[in-house]
Amino acid sequence: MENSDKWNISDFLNGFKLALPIMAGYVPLGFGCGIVCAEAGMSTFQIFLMSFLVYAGAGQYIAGGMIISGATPLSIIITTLIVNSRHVLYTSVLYPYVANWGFLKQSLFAYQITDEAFAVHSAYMANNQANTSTAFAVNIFSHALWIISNILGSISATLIPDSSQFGLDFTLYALFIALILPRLINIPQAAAFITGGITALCFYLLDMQYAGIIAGALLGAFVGYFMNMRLHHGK
Amino acid sequence: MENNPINYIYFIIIGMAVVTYFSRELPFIILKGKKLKPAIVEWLSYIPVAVLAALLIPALLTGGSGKTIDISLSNFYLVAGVLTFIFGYFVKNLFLVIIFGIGLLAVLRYLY
Repeated sequence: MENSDKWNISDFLNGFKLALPIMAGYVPLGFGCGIVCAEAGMSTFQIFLMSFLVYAGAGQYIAGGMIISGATPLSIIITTLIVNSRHVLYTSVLYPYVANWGFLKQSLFAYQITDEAFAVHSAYMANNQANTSTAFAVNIFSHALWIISNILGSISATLIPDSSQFGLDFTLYALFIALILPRLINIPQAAAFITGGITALCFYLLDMQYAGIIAGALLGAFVGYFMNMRLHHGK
Repeated sequence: MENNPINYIYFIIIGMAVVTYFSRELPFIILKGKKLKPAIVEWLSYIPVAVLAALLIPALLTGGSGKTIDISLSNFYLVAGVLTFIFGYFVKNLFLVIIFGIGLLAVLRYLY
């Protein structure tokens, strides 16, 4: 298995291709995030550092907003932990695919896992074996675009382009739809989809958006799991 | 910390980086070297669809970032989302589906 997973340029380019929709989606997202953080009084270097070290869209947006409102550092960090705790689910799901990787390689891989990278990895690895060059290319190119667009946003905070004029703000949702679709022909997967969506919607309307993502994921997975048991192993 | 705004920002960045990386790395630490039971792997296999639904459905039904459900033709996010689902059912190419979704939303906004 290790032999078939050597460094390989064509696998790396395949990862670049897989990262393209993420990159396109990160441009308006990162741009907006850079603007918010610049308005919070952060320097371009600090915005670069945050995009490089934290690399979590929602978390960075919220941090910018909280800094503007004068929140304490501790409350910002705790909020970040709550908002970003969903990442635990992502690397748990990906673990079986990369179980044969070394711990250091897994840890480096974990560093750049976002909602979008996870969406692409989980779809790709379910159909193909985990490939080092492809996996890291997806992560590196996505992260690079995130950093660049944050910096661009921060240095042109006055020059706000109306990305909503085009449909670019829809890129990541379209990516999610395209990745979900092939799985929905499976009834338990469809049940997980509906349960996850409705649960998250309820939390969202109660202003608990981020708790809703975790609750929707867990509840949806349970419903999918038990639905599968009923279908394949009788009642 | 508070009376030094520069340290204040760096403290926040480092703290955020630590807790975010912790969330990403934790499973690899806990599961290190372990082989997951098939039942757990089965359960985990439903997480991607469930979590993407959790990210997608509220956004589509509330029109992006609204705070109320808007099921109408004036909710372009919902219209574009539903039509992108239908388009993707027939055209199974990832890039075409994404381009269709973006293009459709742009056209809806341009026309209405």
